[in-house]
Amino acid sequence: MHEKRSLPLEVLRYGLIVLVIGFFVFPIFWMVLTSLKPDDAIMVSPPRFLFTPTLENYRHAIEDKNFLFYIRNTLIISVISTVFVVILGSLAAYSFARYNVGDGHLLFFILSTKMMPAIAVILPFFLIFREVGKTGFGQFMHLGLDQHGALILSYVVFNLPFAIWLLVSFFQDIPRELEHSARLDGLSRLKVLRKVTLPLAAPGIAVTAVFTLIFCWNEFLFAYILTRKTASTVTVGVESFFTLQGILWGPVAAAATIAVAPMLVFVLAMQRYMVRGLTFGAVRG
Amino acid sequence: MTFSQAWDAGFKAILIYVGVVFGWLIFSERLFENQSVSVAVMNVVAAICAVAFFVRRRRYCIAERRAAEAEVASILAEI
Amino acid sequence: MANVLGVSHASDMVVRSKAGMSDRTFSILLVAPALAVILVFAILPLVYALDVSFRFADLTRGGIREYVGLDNYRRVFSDSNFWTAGWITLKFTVVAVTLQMTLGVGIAFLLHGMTVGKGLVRSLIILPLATSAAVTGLFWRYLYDTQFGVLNWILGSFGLPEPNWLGDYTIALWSVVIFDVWQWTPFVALIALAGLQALPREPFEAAELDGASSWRVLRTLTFPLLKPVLFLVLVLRTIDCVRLYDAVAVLTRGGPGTSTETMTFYLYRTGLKLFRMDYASTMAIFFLYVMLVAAIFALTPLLKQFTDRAKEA
Repeated sequence: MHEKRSLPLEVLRYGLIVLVIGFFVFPIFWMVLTSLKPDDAIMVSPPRFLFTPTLENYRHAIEDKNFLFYIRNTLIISVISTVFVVILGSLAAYSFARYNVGDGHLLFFILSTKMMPAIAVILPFFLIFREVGKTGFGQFMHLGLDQHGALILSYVVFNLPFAIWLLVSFFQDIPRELEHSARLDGLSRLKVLRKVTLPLAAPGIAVTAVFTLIFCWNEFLFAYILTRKTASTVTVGVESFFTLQGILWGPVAAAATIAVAPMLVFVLAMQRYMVRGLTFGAVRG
Repeated sequence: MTFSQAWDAGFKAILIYVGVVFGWLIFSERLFENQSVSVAVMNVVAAICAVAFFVRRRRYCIAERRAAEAEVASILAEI
Repeated sequence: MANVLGVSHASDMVVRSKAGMSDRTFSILLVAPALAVILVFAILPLVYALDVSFRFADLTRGGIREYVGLDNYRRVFSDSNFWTAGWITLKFTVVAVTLQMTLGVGIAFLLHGMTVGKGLVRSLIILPLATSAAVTGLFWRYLYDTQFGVLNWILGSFGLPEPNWLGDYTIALWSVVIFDVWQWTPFVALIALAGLQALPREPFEAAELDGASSWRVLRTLTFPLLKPVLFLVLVLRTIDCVRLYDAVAVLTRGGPGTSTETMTFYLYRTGLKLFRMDYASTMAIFFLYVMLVAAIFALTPLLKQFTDRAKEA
């Protein structure tokens, strides 16, 4: 589109963009700023922008509240969940995209489980894991309440539909001719999938992994209900800064910053690919 | 009717059945004095709705298949 | 329907392998693990909830007990709190989704016309998406604070009224909406932007030659071409808004009173605070039913797009 641009309109456009950025970035900026404030600069009115920065809040969060413990849990749980989701999801999505398994009905079933509100199934999950945790197998697999396995399994179940949805669109973008000729060359189906299709789908699989990791990292409800202490994740950890004396905003801000920082950096690095991934193949090009 | 179509129609018929039950409990049950009569009538109505839907779907699919077959036949005849 | 004549699309695609495994077996083997996981952990809880919804189950009075037929459904449907929660969910969803869609598309147009710094702006507005609602939502309570909150300070310095964001029962729901808009508008904007950038050039050049007004181009070309993308975003956003839980849980806990108690939060309170598992399960089943019916309408066009592509090849 090459319409002529008038100066006042352009000024208006950039003015609006500055406003938009302000609205979306300010809360995060304010969070980071608050985390660096000394106590006497937090609960004051009007809010103070100038102060001597301190790492005291971070010290409190990390040393007194042992916040890195939650980071460790979250890292273990979300990475393992992501690996499982990507493996199971890729196989299933490939089958949907290439062989149209179930003629759309299976895919509908899987996608419709994405509509399930987590809260509606959380009670059965809670009771199931409580029972399974008492068995020898459950203990071996850490599937009981407040254990990593239970949370990993829940995240795998709840992220698979979305991952499959995304992956199907990526697999559909890979031309079939390549696979076809590889098959004619005498490769088995599994070899074709491993040697031809998966390498071609790698960018799409990476995008799916990014999304799954973000969703697992940020998940709150399952972590809140299924864990108490040993397997708690960051989202639950931040809640623990509520004390009877009220909320200590400084440490909360520090903990919140630690909790969101990894994903912020991650998203910034992967931003370009994510946007392509988000359009689910509804956008060609 | 292929299996795939039957599956689709059956699934929707079940949803219609459940939907009628919900609708009945919300709106119609208060019109009945006897609860068991209400439940009996409800099940009958729901079953009729579900079966009616399924049968209509089936007819539609069969008609569609006939039309497609006729089309193929006419193309073959032309050749 | 392409398969009326019973032609199998899969079998003619790949040559039959010597090992004898058919495409059908192979494709089923690939889906099986994922399907097994989903079946077991989606269906099992569902069956469990269905079972409990027909029983008397008050955890404070002896756990799960005898069957009571449809009584739980009768109780839930005549419970005014339940319908209020439904109404609040509906209000929230309609307002939040409308705001997100209009703002998001608007921002996408703004960015699309940018000549410099587009990548930078994109990186900046994607940030809210990466944060957890449970974490940033908690911090938004500080922004909303009546005494020390930065929001009221800004409003105050412009001489505007300073509302009690989370404490006033007439505003609290809209405060949650604002938070959700903050977090999810970038999602809409980024997808719409990707859609805009992928539009084909030719029809627009032709329209320009014809001297069509920009409004006409927008109405007859841009929006129809963007429709599939926008529909997808609409569906995704609506699902998430109806299922909203995190934001309510950390911002208001359903309060003040029950003014921000959405369906999911009412369900949570009934099941995990009042321990009425029977009512909670009943509501969950009803909730799932509504979502499933909605899914048929929302997913069918998307799935059709998919199966058409699967068949054309």
